[in-house]
Amino acid sequence: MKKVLALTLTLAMLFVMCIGGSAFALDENEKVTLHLYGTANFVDVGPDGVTDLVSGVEMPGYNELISYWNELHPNVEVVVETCPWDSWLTSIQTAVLSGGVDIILHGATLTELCEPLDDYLAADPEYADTIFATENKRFGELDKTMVAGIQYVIEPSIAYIDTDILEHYGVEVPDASWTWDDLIAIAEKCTGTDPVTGKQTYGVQLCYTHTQNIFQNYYQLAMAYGAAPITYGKTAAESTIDVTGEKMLDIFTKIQKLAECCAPNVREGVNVNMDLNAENDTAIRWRTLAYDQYRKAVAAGIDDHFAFIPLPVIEEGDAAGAQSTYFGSYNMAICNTSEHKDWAWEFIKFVTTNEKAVEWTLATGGIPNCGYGMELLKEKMGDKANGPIQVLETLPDGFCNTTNVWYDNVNFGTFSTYLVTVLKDLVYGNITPEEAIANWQANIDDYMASIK
Amino acid sequence: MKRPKITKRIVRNQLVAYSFIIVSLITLLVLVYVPMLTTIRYSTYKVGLVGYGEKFVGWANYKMLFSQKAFWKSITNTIILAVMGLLTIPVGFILAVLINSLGRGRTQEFFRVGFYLPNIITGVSVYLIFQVVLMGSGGLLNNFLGKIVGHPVTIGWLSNPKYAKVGATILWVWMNAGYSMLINLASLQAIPTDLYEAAALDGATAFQKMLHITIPNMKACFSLLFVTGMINGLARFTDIYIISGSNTSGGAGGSLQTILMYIFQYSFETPNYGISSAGAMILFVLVFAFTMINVRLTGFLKDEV
Repeated sequence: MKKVLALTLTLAMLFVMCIGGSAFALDENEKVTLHLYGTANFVDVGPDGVTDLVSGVEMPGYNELISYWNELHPNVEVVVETCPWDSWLTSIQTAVLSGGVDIILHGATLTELCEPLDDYLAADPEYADTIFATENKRFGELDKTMVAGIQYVIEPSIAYIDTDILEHYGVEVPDASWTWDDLIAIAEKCTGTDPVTGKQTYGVQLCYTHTQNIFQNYYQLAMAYGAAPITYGKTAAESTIDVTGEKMLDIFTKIQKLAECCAPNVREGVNVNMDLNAENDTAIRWRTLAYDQYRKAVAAGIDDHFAFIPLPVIEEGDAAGAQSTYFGSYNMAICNTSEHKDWAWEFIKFVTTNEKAVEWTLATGGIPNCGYGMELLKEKMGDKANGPIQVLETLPDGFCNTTNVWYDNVNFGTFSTYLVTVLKDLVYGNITPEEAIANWQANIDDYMASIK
Repeated sequence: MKRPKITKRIVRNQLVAYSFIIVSLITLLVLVYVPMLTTIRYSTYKVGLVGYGEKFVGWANYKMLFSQKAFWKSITNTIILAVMGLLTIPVGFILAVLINSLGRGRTQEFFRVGFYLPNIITGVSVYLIFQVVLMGSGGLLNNFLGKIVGHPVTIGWLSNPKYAKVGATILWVWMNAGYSMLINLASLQAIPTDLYEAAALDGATAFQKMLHITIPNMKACFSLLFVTGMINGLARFTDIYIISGSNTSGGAGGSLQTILMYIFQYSFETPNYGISSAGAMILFVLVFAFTMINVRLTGFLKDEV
């Protein structure tokens, strides 16, 4: 009897210990050091902050953010080590291998190194409701996604329209319900000699024609027309990619038409200035960093000359009715070798939702990933905040920016880099849309054959 | 009884001698041979992120590379660019002859330094400037050509696949002709002047002197520049990468994608170190083979001996 009683008590004790151990509780007396490694805006602003050379705005350094954290959690020391954007992926891999990294700054792309955050979010539904987006990636089994990180800066691309140029050409400023065909029609009308100033104007500036981010132009259009070349299987080898459909040809033809309304240097991708500026000669341009652009426009005294509106609506596919966009971000991921995962999660929650931290994020020029961030944005930008906010509010649930049916720069080798090559050739005028698609498909086929 | 003393002394002396080179030996071993052997090993493994699992796949990475048209194209591009880059040798030679004809003095020093300057300017800034110089619309070179032909010229020296390699070669020659000029000049000035005096007495023309005295005496110099030029040309990366808009697929229809850019894709963009290591091994074999052929054809090492 004694033995049975002892066994029962032992089991009860173990049960209580297990419950206690599994409960999510942080010991505020525990001395912990959290190591952050990576890039994001931490490398841009540095520990003590910088002054933006164009807008003259002072941006606070990350030491300010850490001091807010230490007001709440003095027992947790935060050590930040940044690496430059050049070869940042390799630097992060090396740092993680060396050990001791708890949070990877902008590391969600390196899914293999990230702790899946799905369970953390499921255990904290209130927090999950507070934020707009999560970094959902496809990794391992490609037909599923996992939350690899949480964005603390979210940057939807929106259109910046020079209302003066449109007025000179007698074109009405569009609203958020416009389509890509409307956009092309405006761009064609506004390319030529300005009837009022007599200066050459261009209808549109395709974004990032001077970098690999030129793919964002394709991305937005593919999203708008539901052109989904990727059908995911369990693995990359079991997946199929077909870019030869009619929809894709239509998208590439639209890009070609838009390219014809661009300035020659933009088409060639050399000496391109994407910032809003007083010497602007382009009717419509688009890019991420809406708040940063707003600050630059204010500094130049030209904010009244520009309308900030969402890119055209998505016309086909599951997300029809939402705004097409490219969704840039800065994220934080928990390193899967971290010994302080709970504190790391707490830090991520702090950065994304604590009021002072959110204010810090906005002060660095980024749009914070939470409702309070949107309120602040409205306060700062007024009506001009409506564009980015509308995009964020209509964003499809579980939206994944870089591994989805339109675009994947993680799982299919040269799929994304060769897209850049054909887009650059198409925009410059070296090839036709048909040739661009044929070249891209040939490259994809080559790669897919090699992994099967 | 004497032998142990001698041995101790020898050992001590040898330890002293080895202590001078031990740092170099360890550095060489750790930083060159270990990575090299690791690369050979990785080329037969499937390696995603280093340290996160490896799987032996034998020759699969090599088979994958050889089955890719893009890889073959990158090999062709690399060889063509390396051969075109050899233009630095005649350009350097012509510059050296012109500078040498100025006679030793301040003027010669001025031009010698002037033409060598591009070699010491930070590469990245030069590449960015050359993007503007070689621009299709409003580029400096096109503006210059436009003035000559009397109508606007809009050749996309870096944007059009037909001309991209020429544009990349213009940049390469501008960057490296100074080095070639310096080596040529040193070699020219080492040719004994009595040979020219004797030829002049025999009534040789300037062209005959060049053909029968200068060029034969420059053979060792040309061999050196040829071998080093090919090695450097086959390993071109940074300049091409930047003028391609930092796109590893190579600008203008992939016409500028070199093997190193191809390898870079699988190292830093879609990490598969197995494939990039296999690519690195192929590049090594290619450079080695070309170097051996060049050495054999030019008799480079024989001349050195």
